[in-house]
Amino acid sequence: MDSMIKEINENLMAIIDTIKENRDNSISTLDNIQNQMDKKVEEAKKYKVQVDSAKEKINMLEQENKSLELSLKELQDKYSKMNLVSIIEAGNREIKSKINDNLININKEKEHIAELTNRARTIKDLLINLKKDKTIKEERLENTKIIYEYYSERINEVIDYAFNHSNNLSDYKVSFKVNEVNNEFDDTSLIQSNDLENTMVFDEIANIDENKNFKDEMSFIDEQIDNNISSDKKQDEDKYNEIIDRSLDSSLDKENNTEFETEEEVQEPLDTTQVFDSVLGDLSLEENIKKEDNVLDSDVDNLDVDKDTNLSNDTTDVDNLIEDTDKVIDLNNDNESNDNLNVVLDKTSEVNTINTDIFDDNKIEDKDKEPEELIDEENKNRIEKINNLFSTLNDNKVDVPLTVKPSVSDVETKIDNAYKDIFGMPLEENDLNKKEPTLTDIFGNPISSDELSNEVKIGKKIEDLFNENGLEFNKFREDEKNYLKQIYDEEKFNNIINSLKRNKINLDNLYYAFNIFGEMTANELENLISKLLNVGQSVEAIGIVLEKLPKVKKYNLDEAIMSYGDYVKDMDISELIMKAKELYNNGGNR
Amino acid sequence: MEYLFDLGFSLEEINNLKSKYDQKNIEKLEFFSRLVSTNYNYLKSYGIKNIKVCFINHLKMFFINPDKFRSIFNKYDKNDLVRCIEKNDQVLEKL
Repeated sequence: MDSMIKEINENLMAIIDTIKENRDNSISTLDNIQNQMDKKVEEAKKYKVQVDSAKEKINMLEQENKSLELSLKELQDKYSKMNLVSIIEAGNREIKSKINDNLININKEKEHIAELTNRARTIKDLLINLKKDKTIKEERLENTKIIYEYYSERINEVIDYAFNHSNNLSDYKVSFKVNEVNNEFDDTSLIQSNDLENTMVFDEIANIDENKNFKDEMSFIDEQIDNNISSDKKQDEDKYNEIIDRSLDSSLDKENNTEFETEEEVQEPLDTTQVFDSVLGDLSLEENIKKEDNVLDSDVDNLDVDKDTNLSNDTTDVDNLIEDTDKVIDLNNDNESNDNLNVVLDKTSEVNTINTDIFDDNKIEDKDKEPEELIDEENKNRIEKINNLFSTLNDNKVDVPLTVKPSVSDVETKIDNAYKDIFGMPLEENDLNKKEPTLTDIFGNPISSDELSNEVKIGKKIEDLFNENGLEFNKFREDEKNYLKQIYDEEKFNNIINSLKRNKINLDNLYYAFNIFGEMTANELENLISKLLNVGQSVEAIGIVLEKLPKVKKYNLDEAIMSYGDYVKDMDISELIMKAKELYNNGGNR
Repeated sequence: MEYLFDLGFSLEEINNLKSKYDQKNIEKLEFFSRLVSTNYNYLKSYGIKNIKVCFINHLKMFFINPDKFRSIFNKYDKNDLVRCIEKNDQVLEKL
């Protein structure tokens, strides 16, 4: 007997070890997930540092550009009055080149920021998935802890009792109930028989659903109990059946009614009391109970209250299990999941069978007569079945959370908040899809998409106009093209070109004199060209200095021409223009 | 006067040029960059070896209208002219 009990106890300990192992695995998995999340958050923080650095660089470059633009303006203001055009030009070229370099660097940094933002988005998605996984694993861990606590306590009680009462296990039920009635009747937690309680360990798993399997299981339990009732106790058979029926009815009532009405609350403890009255089934004990009537009467209120509390707790547990089952069904509302659930219930049935076998003295006695090898094999099968049950429970997520799961949106909100903490601004889908402007105007200001499309249209118009006149718009430098696009005026451009054509000035000179479109009108150009031609200047010479004509005023040129008198026809164009400029600088402007 | 670098002049040569001529000519040199470049390149196409000396010593020649400038040189035999100029750049003034 001792060796059998020892063996069974070891097997029961193996159950606890299995649950403990599951719990430890869950803790380890959670640690891994947390580590992964920490790493990803660290990575995101590094990106934040890089983004901050890039922003700082952009700010510096923008400040530098502003400063350069101011310098450019100052240069123009200072030297334009002195007619030091070449100095202004050189300064313009130098400063604009520097501004363009800065703009290129700013665009590079912006691209870098966009890339980092995309990486952060990937991390965010990963964190959301990790968080979901973590939440599920945390819930599973909580359930495993509860299961471990419950089973370790209950099974240890069984082990301890079996170990301490190895020689009188057959007296277990009677001795327990005597003790219960005599000594601890007011302790409602011990009113139920231990064997029923221990059976309930597995019954609770069976009670997770009220489907056919459960009813089959209950029928099976009935059969087991029927079969195990010895023939010398036939007179108690009806009582036993009644007890079991009432117990099951009571259990089903608990499941079906989440709230008890006052009457039911009163009746439940009475039923339970009747159960134990019936279980006692001994006249002497009945007499004993009668002797204790006074005690019973005095304790009846306490009993009701305590029992009510106990039943409520039981009901809560059952409700939780039902609720969990509902969640599982909701979560896995497909045939496969239902099949899995049935498998789990089948496993539970096996466990119940095992449990019934374990606590069935008659059966143990029968097995006592069998060879030990067979017992070993059977016990191994039992342990294997139990292990399979727990692995199946884990696989099928029967241990669904007892607490309400946070929704995905809650998790996303948390992630968004974390992202905001890291990057200082919320991450929006639009932000990710928004492209940074890569084109800038001549002053380095970003060009919006509308402006860009408008600019493209203008560019096309200029290109067409130039093509019509044998010019290639692409031969102009980028800054020159941008300038022309900005100052484009169809009528003015047409007039200037027509003026040049009319005076037979080679239009190729425009590649060097794009500024005339913006710095003078067609009339002014026409007047200057006419005067120069009139004093014998060639179209070639005029074309060569075309870019300088905006610097010449008509009246200054008139004066210069007059100052040379008849010799004006021998004068070079450079001489005339310089004279006109001198006159302008000496106050000849009107 | 950056274009002078493009024409092959060194900073020292440019500084030499600046010191040799008054402000008005230097200003002219800066202002009529295209005109000067056109004439310089024309003369350079002749294959004159001492073209930089010619430019530094006879800057005013390069402010002439390009059509006039070409016509001056076109009057002479190209090889003979080159030989004479290379022998003595002062010939330019006599053309």
